[in-house]
Amino acid sequence: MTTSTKTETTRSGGAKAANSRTKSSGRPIHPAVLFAVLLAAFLAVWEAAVRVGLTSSLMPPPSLVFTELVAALSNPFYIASANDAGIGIQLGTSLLRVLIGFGLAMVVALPLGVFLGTSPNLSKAVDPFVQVLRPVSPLAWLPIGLALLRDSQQTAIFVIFISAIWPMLLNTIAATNSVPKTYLEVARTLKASRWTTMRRIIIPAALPNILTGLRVSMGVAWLVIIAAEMLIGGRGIGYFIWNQWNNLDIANIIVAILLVGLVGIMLDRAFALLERRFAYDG
Amino acid sequence: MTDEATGTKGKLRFEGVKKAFPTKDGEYKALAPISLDVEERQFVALIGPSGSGKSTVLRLVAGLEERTAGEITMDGDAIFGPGPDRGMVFQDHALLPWMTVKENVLFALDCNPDGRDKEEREKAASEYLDLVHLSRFADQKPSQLSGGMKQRVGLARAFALDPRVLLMDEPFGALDALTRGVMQTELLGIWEEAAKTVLLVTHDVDEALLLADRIIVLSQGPQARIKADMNVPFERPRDQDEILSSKEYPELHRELLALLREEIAV
Repeated sequence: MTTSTKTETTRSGGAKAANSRTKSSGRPIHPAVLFAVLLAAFLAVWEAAVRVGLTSSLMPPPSLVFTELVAALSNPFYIASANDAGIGIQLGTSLLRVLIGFGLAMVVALPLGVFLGTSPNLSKAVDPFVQVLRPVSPLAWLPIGLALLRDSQQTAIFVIFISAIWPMLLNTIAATNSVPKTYLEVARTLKASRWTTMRRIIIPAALPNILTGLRVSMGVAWLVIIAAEMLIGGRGIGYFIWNQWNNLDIANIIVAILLVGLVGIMLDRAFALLERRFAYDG
Repeated sequence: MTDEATGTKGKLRFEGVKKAFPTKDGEYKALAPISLDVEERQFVALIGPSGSGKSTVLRLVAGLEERTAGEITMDGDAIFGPGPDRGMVFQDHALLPWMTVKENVLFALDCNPDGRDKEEREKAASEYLDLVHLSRFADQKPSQLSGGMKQRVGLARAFALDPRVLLMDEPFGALDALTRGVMQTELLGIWEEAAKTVLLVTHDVDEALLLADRIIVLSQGPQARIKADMNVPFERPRDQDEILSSKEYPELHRELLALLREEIAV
């Protein structure tokens, strides 16, 4: 593998990697090789630090984390009791809450954003609300959610809704507001109806930026769900992590962190693919 | 492709047309009162220094701007707002980048079906692409085309609605000299067959002489006015080489340049 990646580098990325050449061989190091070396070094230092007793006694060695990871992934979908379920069930529960909250946010933010983006005065009138509410941590809404909805499951979804709505709303407003004037003039000279102009000019022109907003919203929602579930309890990867802390099982917390990160990457990649699908060269 | 049914061919009349734009420092009076008659099927070039309001005149006819005073009529009817009876070719081609070449032309027809079903509109779009020799590129995105090809799509889109008046805002200004020459010859061919009224905004004296029946020279703004109104004597169908080697050509060219230079010197 090493040899094949090295030849690959010299063929394609030679110039870019030229300044990372090692002194001894004069050959560039492929980033993947470097990554593997760094990871191995990190794990070795960690393992050694735990064995020697440099860390808190709660800190597991990476070997134990690996064992727990294999164990968690070997039976991810079991359900024993309300709190005792496989890691896949926990992640799936969180993902479902995020998707519902995100979906509800889309239903509100996208039409509202397009509407506000095409009416500059109204958009300015609404702006103070958005500016005040946007920087507030979505968790501050949690008590309001509980008070309004009196249901922890619905409150989690409500918090996701609140956290996801701002980036997508602001991007949708900006995207529809900044559709190039020429495109709108084309529509006017062709006497395109309002609906046709919306459907075939404004929305496709704004779509790449709207998708960027959705991507940011999804990232925020996936960050927030962990904290929200820690506070709300029940099933879900956030509460799973909190529960493992109560059990002083740090190895499983690290397993959960890894998997949360991986799911986050997959969600982000999915939106990146959508963005690329609807991008255009103006 | 001519508009036989209505019998009208796009006679334009400007009567005391003024245009002012609001700015931070008060009103900018772009046009002094302008009066002008354009005959049906006449090819008129509007030429002038930048800031002479020649694009403003075009946008007023297109209905993209509202006149501050005066009246513009087409075949006797006052112009209010844009309409498919006036086809616009934009300076930067203004193709919709998320649509294919064919969809761009089809979009014009979809907005103005005029009783044609989807299949007939598709057929018409193909015909207009054929007219500008772009059938092979029908399914490509505009970003895959050269500048000249993009502007040809712009022409096909404007022609597709069979407008009475064709409005062209420096359509070849962004093209290299060689491509511009090819496009001018092509436009000449298409226009001589379709015979529509054309208003062409240009800053290129050669382009105006080659294409137009009549050249209107506008003065430097603010309050731009018609400085000269000149007939171009060359016979149609025109041939670029014949025109360039004719004995009137250098004289007209010199005269136009002198008129323009006066404006730039001011």
